[in-house]
Amino acid sequence: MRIFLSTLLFPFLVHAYPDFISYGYRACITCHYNGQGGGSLNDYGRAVWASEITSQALTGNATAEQLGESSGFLGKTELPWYIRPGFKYRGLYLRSEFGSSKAVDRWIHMQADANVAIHFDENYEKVLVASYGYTPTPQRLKSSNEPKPSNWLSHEYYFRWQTSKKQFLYVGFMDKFYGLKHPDHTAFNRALIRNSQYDQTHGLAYQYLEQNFDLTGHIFMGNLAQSKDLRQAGASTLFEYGLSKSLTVGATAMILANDYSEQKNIGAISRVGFAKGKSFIAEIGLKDDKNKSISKSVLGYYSFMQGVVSITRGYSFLTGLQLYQTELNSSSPLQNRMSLGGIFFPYPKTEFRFEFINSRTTAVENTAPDQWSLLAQVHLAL
Amino acid sequence: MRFNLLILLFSLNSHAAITAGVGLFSWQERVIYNINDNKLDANASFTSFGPIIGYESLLSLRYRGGVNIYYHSGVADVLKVDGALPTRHNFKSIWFSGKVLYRVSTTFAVGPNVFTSQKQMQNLPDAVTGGIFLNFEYDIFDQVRLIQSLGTLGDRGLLAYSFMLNRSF
Repeated sequence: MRIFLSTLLFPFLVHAYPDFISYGYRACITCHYNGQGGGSLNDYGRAVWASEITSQALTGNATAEQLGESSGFLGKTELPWYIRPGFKYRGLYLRSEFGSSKAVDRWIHMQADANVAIHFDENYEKVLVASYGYTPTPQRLKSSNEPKPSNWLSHEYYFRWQTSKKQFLYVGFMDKFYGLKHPDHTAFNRALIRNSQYDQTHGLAYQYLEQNFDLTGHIFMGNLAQSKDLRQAGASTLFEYGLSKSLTVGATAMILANDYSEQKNIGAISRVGFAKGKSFIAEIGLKDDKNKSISKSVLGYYSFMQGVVSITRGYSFLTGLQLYQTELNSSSPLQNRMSLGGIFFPYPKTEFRFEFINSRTTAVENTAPDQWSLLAQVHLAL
Repeated sequence: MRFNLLILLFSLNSHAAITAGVGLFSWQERVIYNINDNKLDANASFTSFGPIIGYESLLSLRYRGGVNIYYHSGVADVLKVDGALPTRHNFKSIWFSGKVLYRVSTTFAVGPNVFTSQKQMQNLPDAVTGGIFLNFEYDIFDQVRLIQSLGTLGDRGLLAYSFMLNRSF
């Protein structure tokens, strides 16, 4: 029943992770409050995760409808229409330099957030979304003198207003609308583009959704909690067109600057679902970094490709290739990151993933032996 | 015209097809090089791109086999080791491969792919090596396949991988 009602409320096709285009879900807005995905799931997203994505091996004989109806914050107990609380935890086991005598093991609490969505009307046209919780100090800042962000902070708080059937406005603090949004914040197409774990920004976004395309524009002024000279202000845009139910192509662009640097990015994206639970997503882009103090620009490229192949419901093979070259010339180092692993949804509200990652750098002057790392992640979303 | 005849000839068997595509390859293997007339060997990272042509045939409902010829050109970067200067060498290579694939589902097949590779490298001796890959083949569109290969080339057991896009005719 909940799925049926939500389908009426949100007539667009959706995706949770961008890979889920293979389930016939193209746009993000039906599963997430945020129109570019990520963050809190709405009722429909929770129900889809429980009833369509998750393995049924541990859920007995529950039907899809029963699983969907048990997917709320308090299980089957329905909450008042105006509030949807949630809790998210992501923990990561990292073994770096895997297979060598220098191997280091770490457990990282990546995220422990409480979140809430407050609906101002029963059609969910006006919604306030906020999260607050623990985030670890970035590894690179632990031993540096740079100011460290607080471990207790919010990654998003924004007001979403659906002004008409196809138009949404977002005002507040959120990720930038750029490229493919996926949970790996260290990926080249997120970390290098300044759209990573701590790169949320205050701003205003407008999203227009049609049956076969969506277009978003985002104007932002940086993180107002930072000192003025560090704030990355700018604008971004994201366009994605569905050539069919399971094939999209798109383009994205962003410009951002503070007192010390300026970055311009442009990219192309595509997602292909080639059978249920089997998909490929890809992004390739150019990145122009300018150091204002010396007025020098460096133009490089990055790419991100990820494949998910369902083995059986809830259990998928996960593979990816990322490339990055700082500068577009033959002597600039080329970084390859090839990964192989799995992504599992064994029980409602639970996700496990693991990846063996091979990092290879080739360069005229600095070619180094491969490095291997193992990442194992647990994700709980109540 | 000649190409069309070739396609017709092979397509007479409805279970077979000619394939053509492109691939991006990355691998590491040993190279021999000279420093002051001393013959040394070191690992090198190879990155290459090039076309592929092949022939595939169904062996049964679940199995299919194929042979391919690859032509790559790219760069080999010798890894920095004591006493050696890291340098970049252009290279060209021809690979021959034979593969057998098991169809796991209607759009996904997996199986071994055995290679032999012959390389001509700038300022380095020619080399012939072999290797084995595991192919993951995804039918992303009608007659179009994305192929991911993982394996090793040469005698060092180091990772090799490739991504290829292939079309059947």
